[in-house]
Amino acid sequence: MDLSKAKTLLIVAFLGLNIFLGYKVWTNPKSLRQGHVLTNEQIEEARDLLQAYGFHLQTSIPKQIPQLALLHVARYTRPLSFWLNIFFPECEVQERSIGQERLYACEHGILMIFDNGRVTYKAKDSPTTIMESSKALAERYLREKNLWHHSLRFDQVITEGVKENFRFIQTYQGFPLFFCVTEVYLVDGSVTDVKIDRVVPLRFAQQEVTVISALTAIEKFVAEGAQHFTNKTIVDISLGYYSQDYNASRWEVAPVWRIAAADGKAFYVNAFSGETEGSNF
Amino acid sequence: MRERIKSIMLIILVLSSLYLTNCLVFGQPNLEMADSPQYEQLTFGELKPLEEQVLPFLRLQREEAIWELAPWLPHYNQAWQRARQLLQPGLPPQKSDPPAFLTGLKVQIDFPTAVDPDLWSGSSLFREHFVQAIVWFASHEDVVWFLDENDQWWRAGGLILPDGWLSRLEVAFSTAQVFRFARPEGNDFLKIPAEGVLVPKEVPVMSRYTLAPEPLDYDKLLHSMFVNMATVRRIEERNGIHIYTDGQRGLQLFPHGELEYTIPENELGTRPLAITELLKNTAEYLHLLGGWPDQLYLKNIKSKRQVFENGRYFYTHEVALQSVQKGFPLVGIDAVLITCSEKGIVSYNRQVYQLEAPEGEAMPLISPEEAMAAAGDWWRLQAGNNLLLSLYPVYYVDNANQVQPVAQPAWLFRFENRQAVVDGYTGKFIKWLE
Repeated sequence: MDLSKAKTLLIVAFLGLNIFLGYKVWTNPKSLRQGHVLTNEQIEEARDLLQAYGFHLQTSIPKQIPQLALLHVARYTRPLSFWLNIFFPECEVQERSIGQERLYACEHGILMIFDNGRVTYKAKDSPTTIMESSKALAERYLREKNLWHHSLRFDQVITEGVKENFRFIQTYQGFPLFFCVTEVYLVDGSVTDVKIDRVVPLRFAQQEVTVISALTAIEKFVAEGAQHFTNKTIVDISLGYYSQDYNASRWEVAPVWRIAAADGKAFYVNAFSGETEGSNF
Repeated sequence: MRERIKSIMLIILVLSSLYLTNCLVFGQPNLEMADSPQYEQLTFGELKPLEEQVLPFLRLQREEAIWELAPWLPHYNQAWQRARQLLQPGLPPQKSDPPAFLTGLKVQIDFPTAVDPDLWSGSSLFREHFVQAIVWFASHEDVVWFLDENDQWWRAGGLILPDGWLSRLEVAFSTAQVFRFARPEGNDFLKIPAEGVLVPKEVPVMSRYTLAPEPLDYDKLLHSMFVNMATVRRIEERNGIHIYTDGQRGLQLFPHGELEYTIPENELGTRPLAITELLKNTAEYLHLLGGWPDQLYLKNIKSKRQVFENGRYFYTHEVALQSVQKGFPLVGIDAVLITCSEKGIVSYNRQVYQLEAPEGEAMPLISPEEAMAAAGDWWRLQAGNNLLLSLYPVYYVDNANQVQPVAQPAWLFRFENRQAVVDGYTGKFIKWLE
């Protein structure tokens, strides 16, 4: 047999084999791909759904449907001296306890340390300078006070009367922890209030679960949360982690989809169960 | 040229076959097309049969002497098997006055909750009636009187009892506790029925005990409660409580051994459950959530109906089980309290304690007369107007939510509509029970 004939036979044989394999691959279940995504039609469907409820989108709808795990966190605790050094350096401090809060006052302002780890500071001084409040100013304040951390990410600014609230969200490995917010309130460029909620992220749980899509989360939002939103501008639809406030030293946090409006209102959908996880109405 | 094309085609075909083979061998199935994960059905103990869930108190009265068999006493099953024959009258029931006018030898069956007697008898004559109590008099041996769920007495005739039924029943009652009617003198505060207050003939000798929570496989329990543990969050509260939740259902484990499992979405039941359905569900819940050990007995069942603004009714039911140790009920806590609707469990509270070690020597309780005399002081303060029906020795669970709960010997005062616990050694009032 010459080489040419052999090649022809092999081509026929492999063609048959490939047809058979191709058929089996086609009829067999498809591979589960990590980067499962929403189709353009589904994105459009989500957009239309929000529009039907009068919402205006100022952000994109994420396509990705990743696999995520629970996040282990611990309470962020610092000794009292840490906070006093930051807010009341070289100042005589008076202490009082009101319920579960500890209150410290000095001529500059009032510092409250809550049992759940939250720390709030309220300045007594009226603004002496008139400057434009800005994110950079708020960030600079946090850096000067050693309250800045590389995991903080600017979230949004919310106007509350004369105050502008610059919100920075703690992140872990790129995921925002929506319940851990550092807020800096500015009036005419001067800091009037600071609120700090932080945790210590420890690790992700081992088992990963495919989360629900942004479309499913939006469907839940329009069914249960949309009526509470007076501001109809959606500025964020994203995956992150959210937890209620627990009197705990360690706990696990579930991934959520956050749908947030321009006025700071947010609705959280559990990304595993698709149930409402919380809101800040 | 032709040979070159053939070679290239062959190479392409070989490579593509390798790729396709790789896809087939290493490709994972899509979630939608993969077989459903096989979850192991985790259960605790045996499923309690329906007819063994509701066990009534049995009472045999001959003049002033009364024998009572609680479900946890020896020979109870034998006596209950005989007494059950009273559930099969041959004629349809008719409304009646209470059979209080009758005297002589009497058998009484008191159910912990109004129940359909067809559970045991299969008779259709009771079909429309749920029964709280059944009374039979030897002087009218073919008739039974029963009290229905609306506190209406009925009389049903045509009862045919086998020969020697009563004597065999009396034999089964040989191990029963003997009671008597006490008529305390000089006590103007407590209102007492004409025949007196039912009290044990012998004053029991009891010890104070430390209590320990039942041994429970919590890991198994968790896997039984939550289908996918990957979505269950664990929260360690600083007061020692551990919380598990997947956002839809939650479990709280308290350091003193209590557990509370809740599924709020089941709260609004749209229809009431029939008693048999409720009992069947209760047995299944316990089978899945810790078991129904021998020490647990049905205490009562309450049904609640709530009306909402739109005029719709929502229904839930509460099933309470009590724990019995060394022949005495543990009062002050419900060992198991299930709130459920037709959708399933709304909440499941379980704190089953066992007597661990005696604290000091066993001592006789004060006599019922002494306890009633001591009651004068606290009863006057309560301005109560209820008839005092009976006194029973019990263990009162003290420090129930503390690290070391104890079982305190006590007298349980049973009034018409409420119950009070007093210290068994001193007669000091402890608390009202809800």
